[in-house]
Amino acid sequence: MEFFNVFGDLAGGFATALQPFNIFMLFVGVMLGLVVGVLPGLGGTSAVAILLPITVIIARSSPTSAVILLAGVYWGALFGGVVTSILFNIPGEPWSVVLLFDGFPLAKRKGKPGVALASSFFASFVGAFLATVMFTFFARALADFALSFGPPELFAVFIMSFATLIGLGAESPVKAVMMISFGLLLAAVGFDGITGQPRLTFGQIGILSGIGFVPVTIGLFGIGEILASAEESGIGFMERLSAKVGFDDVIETLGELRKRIWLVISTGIIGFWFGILPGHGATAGSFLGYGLARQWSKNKEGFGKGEISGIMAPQAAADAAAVGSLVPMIALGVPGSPTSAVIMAGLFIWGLTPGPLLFTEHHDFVWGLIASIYLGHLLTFIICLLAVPLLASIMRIPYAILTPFIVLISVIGAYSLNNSMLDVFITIVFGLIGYWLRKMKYPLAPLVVAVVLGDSTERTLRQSLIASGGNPGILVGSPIAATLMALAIILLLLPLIRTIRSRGRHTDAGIDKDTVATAID
Amino acid sequence: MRNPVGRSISLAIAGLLVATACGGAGGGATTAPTASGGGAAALVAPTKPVEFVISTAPGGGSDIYARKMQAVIDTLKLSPQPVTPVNKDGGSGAVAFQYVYDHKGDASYIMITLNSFFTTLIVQKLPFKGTDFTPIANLALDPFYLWVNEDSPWKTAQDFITAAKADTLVVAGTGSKQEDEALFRRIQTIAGTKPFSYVPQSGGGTVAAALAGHQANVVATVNNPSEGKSLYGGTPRKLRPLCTFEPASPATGPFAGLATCTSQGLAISDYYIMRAIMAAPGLSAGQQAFWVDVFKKVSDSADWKQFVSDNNLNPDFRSGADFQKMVNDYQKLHEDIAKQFNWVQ
Repeated sequence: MEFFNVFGDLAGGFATALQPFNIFMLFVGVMLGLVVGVLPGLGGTSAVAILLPITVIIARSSPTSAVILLAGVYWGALFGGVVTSILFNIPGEPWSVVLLFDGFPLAKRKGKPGVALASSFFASFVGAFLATVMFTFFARALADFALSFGPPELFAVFIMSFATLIGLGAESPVKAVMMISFGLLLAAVGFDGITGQPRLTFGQIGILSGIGFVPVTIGLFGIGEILASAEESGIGFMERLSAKVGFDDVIETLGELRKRIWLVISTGIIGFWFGILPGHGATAGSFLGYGLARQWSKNKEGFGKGEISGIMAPQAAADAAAVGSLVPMIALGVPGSPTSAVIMAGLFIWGLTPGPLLFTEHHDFVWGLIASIYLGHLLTFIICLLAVPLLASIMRIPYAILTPFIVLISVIGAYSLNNSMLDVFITIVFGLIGYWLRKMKYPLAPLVVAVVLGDSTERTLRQSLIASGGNPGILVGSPIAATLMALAIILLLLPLIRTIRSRGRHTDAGIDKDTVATAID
Repeated sequence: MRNPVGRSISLAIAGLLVATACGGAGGGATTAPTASGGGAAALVAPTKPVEFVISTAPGGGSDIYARKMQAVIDTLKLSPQPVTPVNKDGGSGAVAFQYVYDHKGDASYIMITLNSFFTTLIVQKLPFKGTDFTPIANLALDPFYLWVNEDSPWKTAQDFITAAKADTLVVAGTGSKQEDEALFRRIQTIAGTKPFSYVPQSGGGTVAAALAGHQANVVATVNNPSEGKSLYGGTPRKLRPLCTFEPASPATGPFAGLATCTSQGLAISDYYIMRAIMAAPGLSAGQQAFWVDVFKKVSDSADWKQFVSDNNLNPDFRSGADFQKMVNDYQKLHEDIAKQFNWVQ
């Protein structure tokens, strides 16, 4: 019965979302989101926050139009964030950091920027569509289940992410562990929410909020890459750039998607689930998606060198997680991601209380929003696909001409994060560190993963231990936590076992070393 | 209807772009003070765009209140200069305090404060004091309730206290060494319970979720009513308040008639989160009077009154000596807790 009601509700939602003014709001939101997504630094979260005062005016006539505008920005930023990651090795948004691993190599080293972009757009769309269907039918049940994910369960999930990603520098575990430690050390800097004390800040109030991973990754990848490229002048990639124009890339990508459809669907589902867990969202989901894609792939050596699965899986997870992060916000009043927290603030200001009562008291609002998620993604997807040939053609510009431009947007992007010169300084320092690490053949991926996930991992571990009075048994205390932890351990040991077994059969160290060398590019 | 809205949006967006482009370099043009009279000092309005600094991330508790106030100021055109909310989160407010402190004598920097204005300044040993800032006004007091999961056997505060004397209970709250923990430590002292295992969470929403989901053995919280309301109102109900730390039961709203904790043998009835406004240090009496006047008008607006009642806040406008006394009392209260529990190392 309930099932059929959903179709009626959804039809009503579409009737609301398709009103001309709402379509207009959606279009404005999506376009703004695409713009802020493409620009590094100023992200979806801050764009939504900047728009809040304007939505107060709109919400007076219709809160549904206001939420459609804000959600549109979120979707636009999700799609737009990948562009600079893929083309310039600079993350446009936190959740597109992981696209640096394979997106840029595919665009630059393999000369297929169009395929790289289209892969991410297709995956975004499939992931988001899947997530929206799940949102439509199971929002409240899933949100309730997510409540049972406390610190021990979340810690197990983070350990799983680490486990899947640790193998990224598999051929030199020592270097990978060193990089993870360095990343954890960086993540420790700043205000410690558990003790309420500053940590490793040396009295500097400016770094109380910690060393942001966006300036760190802009430096490590964007600036670091430029320095490394400057050295290898003469190895132009122009000649390797495929001669395709028009939409051939899009059609090629469609074929690639068909081969990986199950991967995209499963990482989409995992991402959606990640988004629902309160307080996490797209970024962590994208990393787990990447790690799993690599674990499951037959072509592990291709990862880090422009493997299409390494673009599609994290992007499907990230977009599904973003949609998922609205679920607990709407159903429970607990936001699933920073951006959905801002949208929730909007609801309060417009006079709505998010939570279970929203479904009954503001029926049209909820279903109008759900319908607009379908429409918003469709709109964003079409705009992005149409833009692929244009965006891809940017890569035809000689790298020497692009370089100053990339440095410029890196610096502006870092500055615009908090309007602070400190972030610019961090970007430049990490650019030098990134260059040096490349020379020394240290893998960058484990470092980035640790910087991004270190803080949450540490917090959930300490919260668990406080709750149990120091007894580590709590980490496997619930059936969910125990299962997840067991999975994490299996995922961690698998590559090790595989390596030992393959070493036993034949020594292929020469090729392996080569893999590491290229994987860090 | 549609065109004006559309136009105002594009104008506002254009304005935002300009504002972003200009960054902090604004200033220049001066407008004459718009209003005068009223109090003792003539009102001196700010002469450049105003930054309304928020010490939490977008979406956090005081962010919502500040943005609502900003919306009222904007709608009623209470300030001759545009007022823009600016989030300076980090260090439990320290980043925001430092930012506003650095704009001494500049009436274009105001900030919303809560009890972290006391706790953070005490715990973190920052190079300035709360009294350095120019006090403007308190607008509302956000009460604390004692919450349990709906399936908890405890019906009153006394049941909770009895259990807390027998075992070490796990409780959750927002942040560490801040208002939620301060209240739990007061309960611990006054009722003589075993020390609570206090699990710091990142925000009011996650605190409510931890309790509703039985996460990591959490059995009680002291959320504000607005933080617990969503999970109280739904079916099936997930959370339930035992009592309120106010002197009297709420008279209206979803929690009307909720018992006071004092009536159940837990004698704390003087602790709230203040929703107050402070301004940059060293403002002139006229500049201070301007902001007091603006926020008095916000507090009197129908829009704000509706918001206050929707979110179960207690309207409580106070400025001048009255506000100062409240600040002094809270300063003392938090210093005592900090001393007793060795919060300052």
